[in-house]
Amino acid sequence: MTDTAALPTNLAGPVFALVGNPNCGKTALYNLLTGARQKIANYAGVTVERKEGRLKTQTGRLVRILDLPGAYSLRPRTPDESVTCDTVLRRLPGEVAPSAIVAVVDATNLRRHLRLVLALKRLGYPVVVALNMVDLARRRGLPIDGALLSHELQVQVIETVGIRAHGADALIQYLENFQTQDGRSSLSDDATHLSVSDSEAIAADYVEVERILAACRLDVVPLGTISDRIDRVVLHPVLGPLVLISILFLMFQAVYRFAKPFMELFTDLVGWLSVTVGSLLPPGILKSLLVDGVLAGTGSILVFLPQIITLFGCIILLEDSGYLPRAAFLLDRLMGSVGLSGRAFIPLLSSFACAIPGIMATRTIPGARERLVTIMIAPLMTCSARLPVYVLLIGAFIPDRNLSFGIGLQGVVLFSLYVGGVVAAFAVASVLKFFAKGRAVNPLQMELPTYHWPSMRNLVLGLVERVKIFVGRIGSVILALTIVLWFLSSFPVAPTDFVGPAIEYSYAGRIGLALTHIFAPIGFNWQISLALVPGFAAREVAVGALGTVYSLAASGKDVAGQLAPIIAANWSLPTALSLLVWYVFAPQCLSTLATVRRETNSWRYPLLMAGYLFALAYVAAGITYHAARWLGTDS
Amino acid sequence: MSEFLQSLVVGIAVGASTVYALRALTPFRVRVWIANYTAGRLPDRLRIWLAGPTACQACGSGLTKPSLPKK
Repeated sequence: MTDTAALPTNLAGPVFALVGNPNCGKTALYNLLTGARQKIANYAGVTVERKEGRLKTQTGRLVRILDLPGAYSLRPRTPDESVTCDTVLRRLPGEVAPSAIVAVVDATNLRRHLRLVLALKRLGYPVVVALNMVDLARRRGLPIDGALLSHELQVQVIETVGIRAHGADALIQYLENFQTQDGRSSLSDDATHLSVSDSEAIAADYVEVERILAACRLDVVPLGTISDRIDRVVLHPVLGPLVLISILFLMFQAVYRFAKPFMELFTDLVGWLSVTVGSLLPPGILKSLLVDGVLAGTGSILVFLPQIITLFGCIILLEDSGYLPRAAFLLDRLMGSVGLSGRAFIPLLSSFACAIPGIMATRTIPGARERLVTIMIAPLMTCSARLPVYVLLIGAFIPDRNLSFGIGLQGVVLFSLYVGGVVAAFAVASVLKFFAKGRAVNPLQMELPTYHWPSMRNLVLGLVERVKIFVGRIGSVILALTIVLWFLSSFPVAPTDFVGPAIEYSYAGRIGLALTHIFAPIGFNWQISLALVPGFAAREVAVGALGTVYSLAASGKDVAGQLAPIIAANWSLPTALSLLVWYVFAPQCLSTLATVRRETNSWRYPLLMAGYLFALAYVAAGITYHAARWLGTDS
Repeated sequence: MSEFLQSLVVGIAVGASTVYALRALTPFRVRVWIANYTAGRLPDRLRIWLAGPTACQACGSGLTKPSLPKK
């Protein structure tokens, strides 16, 4: 973090740190307390950095809430656990020590969670236990008694349900009445030191936890839960991988099947808007800017919103259900063959949304080498920004026909492209493995959470958030780049004696024609070459750029909603296949490179990443283009 | 609408978009350097805008909007 990225200036009010094991519901509580909408999911490692929010109580008291990454102990094994430990152990310069700790524990798994509570108690902070998920524990028949637990632990225990409205009212009442002077004055450096290094105390915690559980009649491990029964199928050595492949396959089919009618609706809407605006304005550059620039550019991306919603809907349902850690477990052996562990699965899966949170999620990986390899291959997972490009090209060149059992060819091609990215990532990881011979991979230790019915609230909030991000990008950086590209494609105006399309005389035409020297060998025309440039800011801008360029070339035709048939008429199949393959490996956007720089603290790795991805994309697209031509597909 | 007015609207839109796009393509540290360099030369609101809004991604602070860079 740079020293110039200042923290919020108003530091009034006591600070409460939410601390607990991973996946105990800290972020759900944080959202409930502060009204924030941080991502929550049913697996460990969703939060990887410190988040701060504020709560204004009914009496107007302002308190600050810190949401910290999950930690199993105060001996950090991963970068995200270090953030938590450094915060509570006051190792971060400039960070105010918490006034009190809210130790969030999962009521269904007290045996593991109480050890951290005991360690936190030894630090000298005022500690209150938020006994979360009590509803679930009671449904399982666990005799949860908050008062008895409080008596045995010698700290206040407050029952909470983080995913329910008013589920933290009692905790808010505690925060309201908390007296700051009770707080951190008692925290001494000696206490901090002892709590970390005294292994005898840690061993004693195991004994103490067993005593507390026995006193609370919670020392019986429930067997044969519904989760166990589901896991017998889902984690089966043969059935498990089949279930995983089926789920992913159906997900990509749904992207086409479910989203298609909505996409057609959006296409018609954008087309209608384009015609209406065009008819309202007199001919001139303003009309051209709005119709050929803004509507053709942004409209051609906006029509893919239904696909984005469908894909993220499926991912949120999987995240919320608790299935993802099972998928990581199933893939552990396969990932081990390329020098990774199943722990890399969730960062890689996050990269399907965007490489940036995926790269940040690698903080949950304990081994430095394994973390670096995961960062280097994360951009090969197909991020959502590439989905518009895929859907456009597949819609234009792949016939919409059923193979059998209702399986559509277009969905199969989309699935193959995603698989292509995964295979490439594994191939790169295999190569990188050779540079680290003899170094052991950390064995996978991962908590398998209880299955939950996906929450409709989480689904709706998650989708609203994704729609906001997608539409927000269209309304900001994509709109700006589209307008700039319109200007470059419209000026200078071609003289009357210019031979050829007027757009080739423009700045954009000249840039595109110059770039074809690089990209012509892999089958790209000047329009594609030009569209790749703004794609470095955000990959989906390439679609908008094509919309603008072809709209200007088509002189007033309704391109905003009809880009697919235009490129189908202008491009050969080898060119389209080549571009599809380019986007499977395409060099990532600039924001991703900046994130890699920050996470690796070096320019070496982002430059290496950009170089190898460009080379991979160029070679693979070139092979595809020439192979397709050789097979005669361009005739 | 007169041709002049159309040109004016288009000019403003293209100019603003160019600045916006350049900001989006400029690394965070460079933008912060510019914001620091222009202390006292540009209004603070403009400097905050120049440094923003991807600070949350670039600096890892989790902030959605950056505070004013130091002068």
